[in-house]
Amino acid sequence: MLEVDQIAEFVLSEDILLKAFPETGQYYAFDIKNGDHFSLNSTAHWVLDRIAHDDFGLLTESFAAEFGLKNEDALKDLADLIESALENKIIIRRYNNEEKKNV
Amino acid sequence: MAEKPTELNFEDEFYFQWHITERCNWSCRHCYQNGNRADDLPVGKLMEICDRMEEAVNKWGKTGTVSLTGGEPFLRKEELHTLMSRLDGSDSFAYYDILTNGSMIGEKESEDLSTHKKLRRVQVSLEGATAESNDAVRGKGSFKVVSNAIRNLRAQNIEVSVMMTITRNNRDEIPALVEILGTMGVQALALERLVPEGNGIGMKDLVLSSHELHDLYEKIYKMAINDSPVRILLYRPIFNLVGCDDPTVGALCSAGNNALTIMPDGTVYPCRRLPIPIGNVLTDGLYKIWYGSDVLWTLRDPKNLKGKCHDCELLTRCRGCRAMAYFTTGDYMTEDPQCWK
Repeated sequence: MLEVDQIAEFVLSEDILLKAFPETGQYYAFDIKNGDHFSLNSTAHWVLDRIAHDDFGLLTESFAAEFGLKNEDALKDLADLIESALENKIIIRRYNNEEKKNV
Repeated sequence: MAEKPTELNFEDEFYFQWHITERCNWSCRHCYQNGNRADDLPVGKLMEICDRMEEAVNKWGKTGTVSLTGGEPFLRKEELHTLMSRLDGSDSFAYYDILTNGSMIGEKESEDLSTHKKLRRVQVSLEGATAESNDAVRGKGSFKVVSNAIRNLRAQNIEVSVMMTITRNNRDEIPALVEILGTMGVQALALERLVPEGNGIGMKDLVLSSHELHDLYEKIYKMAINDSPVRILLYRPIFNLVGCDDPTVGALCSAGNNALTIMPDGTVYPCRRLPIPIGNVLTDGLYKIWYGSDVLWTLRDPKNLKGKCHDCELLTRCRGCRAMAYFTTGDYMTEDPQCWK
């Protein structure tokens, strides 16, 4: 399982565009470079939207609060979701310069 | 042409209307061009656009169809044939049409066109059943020129469709035009409503009222289903109202759904009649435009429609003409002003 720790931060890939249609329950991530598109559930969209707005620092806590989860369950769900988003290149891992040298 | 291309279902098709030039040797009174002409792209850039179209329809699991047009596309005859050959060799495109004023289609050109295997049809335009009514719009001598072009094309067994733009001046000539086209061996007649834009922006008084359009569409539908000598194309918004139970009648507006218009410099519009720039195929790419354009997302969502279009039970099959709404009210999501419902 991916470890969601304090070192890594994630950012939305620069070619990804998120779209939400809450009234019809439709959520998407579009890759505007290669044309891939992904159907998301509302939870995944919520997380990716926070990441897109650079809200990663408080993500675990706010995710737990939003969906009424214990922190450890929130962390596990979040890790699964982030792992999947990384695999599909919807998000990428970002390191600051100092941390990157040590990885 | 050894094998005729087949028609596609709406769900399977992605349609590009591609204007390879805005230059034209005619000056029709109602033309949607507004006088601002972009430079033509060199053939290498046209090929690049073709590559992007091909990649996109493959990615979306669609089959591409293309209308190659202008301006007058035969003013770029060499490039036009190069593009046709490119499309002929692509598995991603089912067929293409050429939309032309017909002025440059002689016997030799018709022969050349007949060698292209994915050319489905050549569309020319007539604005009435007589030289007098047609030439008043398209220029002196144009009726004869177009008639000759049709003969040349038919002599090579190339399918021909004729488009007529409906106005108050020519609506009564449709039955006579249908008969004439039948004698000429024309396959199809497309009837488009006049949208007062471009050169035609001052022709609002020739746009039919909703009552007049209703009356006309009823007559056209009766003609179409009663052994018309040419196939009258009825897959346009609002036609749904006269043939509600007939699946061949009416069509959902394709803007935002399964079509894009590409202009000579690569600028992309939702529809040629709705000339709102939503990006450039060369600098932005089709994916960014298709997924990112707010205009397209607005068009796609029927809840954004206003007036009687908003609550219409035909939302999945019609939605009116957004260009007509735009050029009569300034808002492309208002109700179609010619709807009589």
